[in-house]
Amino acid sequence: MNTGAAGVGFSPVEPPMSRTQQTLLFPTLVKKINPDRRLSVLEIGPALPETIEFFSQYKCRLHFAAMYTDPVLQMQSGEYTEAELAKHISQSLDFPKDTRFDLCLFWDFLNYLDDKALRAFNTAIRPFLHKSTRAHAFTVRTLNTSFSNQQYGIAQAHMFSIRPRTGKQARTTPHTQAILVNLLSSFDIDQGMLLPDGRLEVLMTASL
Amino acid sequence: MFEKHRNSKPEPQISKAPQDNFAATASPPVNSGRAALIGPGIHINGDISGDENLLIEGRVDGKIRLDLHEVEVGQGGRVNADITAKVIKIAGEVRGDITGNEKVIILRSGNVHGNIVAPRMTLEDGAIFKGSIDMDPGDSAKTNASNAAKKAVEKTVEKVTETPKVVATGSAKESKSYSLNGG
Repeated sequence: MNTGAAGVGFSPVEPPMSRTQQTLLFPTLVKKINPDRRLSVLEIGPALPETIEFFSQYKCRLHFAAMYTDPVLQMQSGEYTEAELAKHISQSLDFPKDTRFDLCLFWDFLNYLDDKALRAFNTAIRPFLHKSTRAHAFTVRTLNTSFSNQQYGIAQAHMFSIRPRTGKQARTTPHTQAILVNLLSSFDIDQGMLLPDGRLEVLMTASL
Repeated sequence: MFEKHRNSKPEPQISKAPQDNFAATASPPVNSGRAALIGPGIHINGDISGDENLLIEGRVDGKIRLDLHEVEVGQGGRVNADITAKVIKIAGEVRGDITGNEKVIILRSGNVHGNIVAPRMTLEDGAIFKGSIDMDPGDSAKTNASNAAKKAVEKTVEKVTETPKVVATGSAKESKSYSLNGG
């Protein structure tokens, strides 16, 4: 049973390990998809069956970056410069040069990057945006908000799936809205929705 | 996008597997013809093409092209090659670009690193995939997509009474007529 419009709860039809979370912001993006045109989507996390199923109704190109398991999450605490991190992220993303994403699904990944790594990520992702690129992410209202070790999928336009992530959780560096827009300068935040657990669900538009 | 090692060696000989062996690990073949098996002890370095289904339990480096047939990479299969086939099922490991003329299925034990082009794509829970997927569901699905988008918005409107606090709103873009992906 879901706990509310943006609450997190267990669904009776889902396996016990899978939860759902309702979203009011994501449907506003779905509404803007033109089914007659090819949609280019970046999913920063792993490929999940429900996400593929959801986008299979559209003519689209889905790119799964699987960045939650990328070495950059360990490298950021080392002696690497911002430029070195940006180069590594670019190599990991490995997009064809002509790629321009219409939609980026960042989930809570940005909170796994410290300030230097987030600036590097911003540098690496910028060439693959266009002026109308939209993005979805979770940030925080206050810095004491924590993130669970979980991964997200799209069950329906208004419903995300949440699964526990296997493996040890990487160190998190939650970013508030104000900090995020400074470090991730390729995007502006359009809308935000405060969730009961202190996270802030945001929609962003590219700022190029 | 992904590095591959290809040689232009002549097409290798591959052993024929009894029909029952193929059916034991996969759904019925695309046609009722023979199926070939590359066994666990076989390593092929070269291109493969032909006119029957193929089950790979060994290792293949090169290119596989069976446009009208089914290719299955078994759980022990290791493929470092581009694959083109009517239906492609992957339970093992594949590094390369995959074109499924009809469908691509990555089973739960599958691990794929590459780009996939297919009208239909299924990824089982637990499968690992990194790369891109090109999907084009066709004209009938476009109508479904429009309907799905409309339904999503309708559901959102229904839920508004439970709306959590909006702490930041903005963009007039939301009310303007534009689409996410142009047009």
